[in-house]
Amino acid sequence: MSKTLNASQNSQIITANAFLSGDVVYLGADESWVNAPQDALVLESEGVATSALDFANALPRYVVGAYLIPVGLDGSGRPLPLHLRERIRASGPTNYWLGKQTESGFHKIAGQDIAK
Amino acid sequence: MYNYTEFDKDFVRTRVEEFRAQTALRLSGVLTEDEYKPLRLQNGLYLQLHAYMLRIAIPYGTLSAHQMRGLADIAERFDKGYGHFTTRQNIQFNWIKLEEVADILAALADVDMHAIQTSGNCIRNVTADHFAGAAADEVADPRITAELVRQWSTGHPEFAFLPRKFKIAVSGSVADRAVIAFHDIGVQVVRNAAGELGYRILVGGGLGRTPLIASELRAFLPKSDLLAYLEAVLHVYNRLGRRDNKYKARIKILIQEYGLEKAKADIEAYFEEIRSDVPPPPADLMANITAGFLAPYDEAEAASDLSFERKLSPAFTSWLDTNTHPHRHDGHAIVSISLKAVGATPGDATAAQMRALADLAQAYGYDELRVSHEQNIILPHVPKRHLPKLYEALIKAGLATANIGLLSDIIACPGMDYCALATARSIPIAIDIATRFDALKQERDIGPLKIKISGCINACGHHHVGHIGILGLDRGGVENYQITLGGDGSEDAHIGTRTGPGFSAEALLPAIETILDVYLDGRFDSKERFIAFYRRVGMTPFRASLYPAKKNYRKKAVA
Repeated sequence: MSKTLNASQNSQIITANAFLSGDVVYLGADESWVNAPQDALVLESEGVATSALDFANALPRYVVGAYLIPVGLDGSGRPLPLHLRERIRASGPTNYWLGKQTESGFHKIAGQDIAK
Repeated sequence: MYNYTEFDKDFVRTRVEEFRAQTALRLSGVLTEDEYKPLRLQNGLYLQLHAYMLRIAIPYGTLSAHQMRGLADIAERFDKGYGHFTTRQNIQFNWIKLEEVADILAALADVDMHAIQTSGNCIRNVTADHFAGAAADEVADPRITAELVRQWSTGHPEFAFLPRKFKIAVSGSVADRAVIAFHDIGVQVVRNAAGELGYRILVGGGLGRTPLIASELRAFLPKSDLLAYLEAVLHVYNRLGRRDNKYKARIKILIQEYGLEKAKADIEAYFEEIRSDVPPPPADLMANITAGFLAPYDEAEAASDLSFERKLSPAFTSWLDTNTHPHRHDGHAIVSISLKAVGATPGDATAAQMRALADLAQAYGYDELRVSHEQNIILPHVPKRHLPKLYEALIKAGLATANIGLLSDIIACPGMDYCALATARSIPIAIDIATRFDALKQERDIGPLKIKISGCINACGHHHVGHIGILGLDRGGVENYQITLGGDGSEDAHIGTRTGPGFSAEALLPAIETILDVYLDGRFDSKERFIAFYRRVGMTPFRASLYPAKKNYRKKAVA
């Protein structure tokens, strides 16, 4: 985990899977769903986070399996998942060139030292 | 192999339409996610780290060339061109869209396959010895029993919502290649003193958070009593198994908490009650099952020791030594095809490889393949005269890795690269170990060695029964690996013992090297296998080398 991240202790974002496609998505601003954690809405307090999770869980036709993940903030204030599993979820598996990391517009997640 | 009847085909097709309808009800909001989830799980559909994952049943690991091609087609049409063979003889596809699942299930039904009960709190795929019907030491083909149990357990209404998953394995020999001692129910086909066929029944084995070796319920159960007895075990479990705590809900915990003798008494009592009410399977059904497992191989095939071919090619000899196993008929061999090429993800196969495997089975192996719980593919019946050509074809297909049963034949779960439950990655560890020892060229000298890697405490990689087991955990957000030694999933069942504190990803490989140095330095000779060496010397020399004692100068000064 990079120490340059501004880790507000409470910063979280929400991730889920699109119900029909299974694609990994993140809750963005204005109740939208985005593809990358950097574009997700940062939830600064437990109360806000819980409300947002309730919102996500009330959309079973659109998303399933929503949960909160802790994030740090990069220099531009954009959220970055702290845990390696969430960084893998946001990028793709480390054994094959598959998943989000192959898509155009993908931004490599800072602090992700997964190359071996 | 077993041939679907019209009833079977209808059953599978009806199931597809049922799932289509359930998904539509979910989409229209009639079913909540909580109501829908158990239904999709019982059709093998998980929500995983990157996408939906579909687990397709390969009953007792047996499939035809035609079915393997069917899987290749699914890999290409509906996934990203590959699949993963699992430690329960199934196949998993990692990049599935829910909106396509009904079509996938329909494609599976076209080749007499399905994903029924591969997940959920129900009886799962019945696994069996991957050398069934071919091994020389077999009392009887365990797949006849496995197929009977499969039919009995599929759609069984009383057991559709058990406290937790339930796994049954069947072995046809004393040598246990099906890991029956670590299943909820293990069934071993045996003969009594009078020569009659029956079953030894084990109960309450398991891995996961609480590894336990199964206990014996019956040394000999008459063949005709099998289904009634299984009914009794499942009935007692269904009634008494815990439903308050997911981690204490398996039958192994029930046996532990309730007591084996008490559980056995309940089971035997219920068995006596229902015994006369559970009729033996109808004669025509048994005839159809039995017919599917008649020996397909040609007994006219001549025996051969391949001494001529061995002299021609050291590489071929090397492959014969590791990748073939004696067949009950002297004119044939059992061939194992490794899905553990150095640098490759263990147990994965591309669509092209699946088609190559199908072609080879068709050309050289009577059309039949097996998936082993060690994530390799077996051609159970290959005429010996075909072995040189088969070997050449395997080389061309990139499937000739001669490492079966050796260090680099590693079992690994998908781990944190794919699994939402995982606490660490397992695949890169497996690849690193295989790559390192390939460079050291020590694998053959080290000899038979089972390394098993799990990416979390759920132990899908079976690390508890690895000679060397590796468990990947999360230590403050960083991957950390515990090592266990001395596990054994064979009839000499043992649960591995932890060496001590875990290792970082960087320190793990040197630790494995240290373990193998201890073995190579201390063994009697090259005939003393790693597991035998460990049983002889125990953990002490390994701990001493892995965790060298630090000198405590302060203590010395005080003294």
